[in-house]
Amino acid sequence: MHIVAKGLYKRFGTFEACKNVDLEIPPGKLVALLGPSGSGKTTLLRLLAGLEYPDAGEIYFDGRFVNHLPPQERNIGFVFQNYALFRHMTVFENIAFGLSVRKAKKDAVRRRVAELLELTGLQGLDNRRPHQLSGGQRQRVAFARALAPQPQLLLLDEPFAALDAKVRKDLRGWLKDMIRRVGLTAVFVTHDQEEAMEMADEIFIIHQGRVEQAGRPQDIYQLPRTPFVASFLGDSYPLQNPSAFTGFESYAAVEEAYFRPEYVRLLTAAERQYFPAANRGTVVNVSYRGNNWHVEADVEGQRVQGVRSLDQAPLRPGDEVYVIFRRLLAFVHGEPRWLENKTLQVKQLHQAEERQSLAFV
Amino acid sequence: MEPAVTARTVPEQQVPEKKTDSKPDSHHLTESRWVRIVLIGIALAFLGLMLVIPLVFVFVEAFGKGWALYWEAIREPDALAALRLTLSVAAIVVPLNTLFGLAAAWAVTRFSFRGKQWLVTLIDLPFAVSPVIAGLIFVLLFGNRGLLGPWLSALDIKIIFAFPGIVLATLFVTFPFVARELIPLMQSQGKNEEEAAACMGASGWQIFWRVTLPNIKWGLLYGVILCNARAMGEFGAVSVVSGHIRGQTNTLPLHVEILYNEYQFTAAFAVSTLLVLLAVVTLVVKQVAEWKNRNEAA
Repeated sequence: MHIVAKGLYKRFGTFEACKNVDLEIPPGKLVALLGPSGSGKTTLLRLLAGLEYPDAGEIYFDGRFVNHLPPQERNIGFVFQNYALFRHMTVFENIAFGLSVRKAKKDAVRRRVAELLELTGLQGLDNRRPHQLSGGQRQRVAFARALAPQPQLLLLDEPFAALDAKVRKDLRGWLKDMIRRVGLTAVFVTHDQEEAMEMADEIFIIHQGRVEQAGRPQDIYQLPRTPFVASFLGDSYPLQNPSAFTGFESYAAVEEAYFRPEYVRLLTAAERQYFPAANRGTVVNVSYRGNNWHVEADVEGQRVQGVRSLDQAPLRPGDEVYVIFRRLLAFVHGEPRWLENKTLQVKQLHQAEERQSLAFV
Repeated sequence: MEPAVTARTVPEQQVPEKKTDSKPDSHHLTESRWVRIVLIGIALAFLGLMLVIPLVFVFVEAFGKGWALYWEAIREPDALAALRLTLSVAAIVVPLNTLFGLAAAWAVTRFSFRGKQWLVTLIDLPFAVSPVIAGLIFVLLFGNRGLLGPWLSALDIKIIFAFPGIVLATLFVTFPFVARELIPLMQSQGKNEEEAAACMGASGWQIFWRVTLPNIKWGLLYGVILCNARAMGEFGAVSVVSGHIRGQTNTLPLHVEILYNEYQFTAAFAVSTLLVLLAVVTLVVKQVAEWKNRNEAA
């Protein structure tokens, strides 16, 4: 289903949950509404579902104006954060609900439920009640139940929030695959950037009731349009007065820039020989992140975060360290722009890295 | 020598830790045995003195002069008329207040609107007002000298000292029971299940019958039972509006009082046993309802 929203506005009391949101979702796409809690992303989802009505703005499904339509008539499936399974019904009855309220024939209901039980891998659980299921199974029942009446749009509100980390990772891939296979348009709300990037074809970053940026995950990550997006999708930290750092002297007009830790190199005095373009600083904090070290250092009066791979010599707080920014993100007249380190030619850097990794073998 | 000492202290530290692990709350939260026995003893003694003995006494008095007298007291026409009146009042009041309670709980828990807090407070009003005052309100409104009195008598409608007055007073007094029971229950359940049903295409009535009602049925039943118990047992408010006409406007509690005032103790206690039995049934159903509710929530 092709979804278009124009100027959506919704207020609860004095709280503006949704401020003139425009969005367009092409059919067959899996879309994430990503934002911190309280950003209005769930309100947006509920507006699409018809569970809330907008104070202003228009919603079109396949060109049809649906503002006034109740959820019953929108042809949608909705998966709630806590799943909202009917607690007094069995798994079978839960999945059959959307069919039986439409007075479907018993045979057809049984066939469709069996089909969905198989699709979701819940065979044999049809007589269980929700409280007898694990979190992951409940999530799948909620999914099967929403799919039963064959909706054209599936809306999911934080579908993985109630699950533990391991089950969450397994189900992400499963759900994405499942939505592809059924071939419907789906919108899910999440505050987890990793989840959004892994699953979505397109991400809408929601902040304070507005769409801050929309696009493919890789495009947004590579060129965030605002400091908020830069810090919300992936890590990024502000850096004052970047011209104080070697390689960025020519950007005297830029007062503030942002850096991602993966573009920061922190080197010991011994490693420094290949990288003359470095600022000297002191290690403040080192934390172990499993696949790398996260290092904080004080350089030129500012706190800088960077990563060091596990096969490099470990740093300790108090150590002398040399810091190089490979690139910095600046917002010039509101437009994002990457500033490259002028003393580091990309080619040089690659060569140096090669040499360095050889030196460590 | 020192290693030996530390080696011994380590297992000693571990043992008490394991003990507290297996019984997490018994250590911090429990008083000494004697305090427990004394507290439980006081509670039991109080219950026995204030509740059990009087209840047993009702039956002892009722049956004290034999089954024959008991039966006679209950089969006496005025007693039967009182029983009939009480049952008819309950038959009207309980369904009405069930509907009202459902509607109020629904409105309060499913919608947000201006003055919602006021509505919640107003629902409690009958609990806060003395039943006698509640009765008086209706006398002042509908009585002969009341606000609407002249108009009502012109139309030849009798409310005070008649059946409608008793129904109104009972309605007023038993008004909060169902709503009070349902509001916290429905609040804790939230509206997601109903929203899910709506998204799947269920109509308002389908949502109510197939999702909401099954979720609240035990709480609703308990509210209805409490409402019924009070509707049958109400004395104060009904006493003010009834007029105490034997065989016509006397409910069971009023009938008991009249018998007692006439020194017909056996008869008074015999009729009382009917109300006591009702109370026992109420408690049993309440227990079952709570037990069922817990089982289904688990």
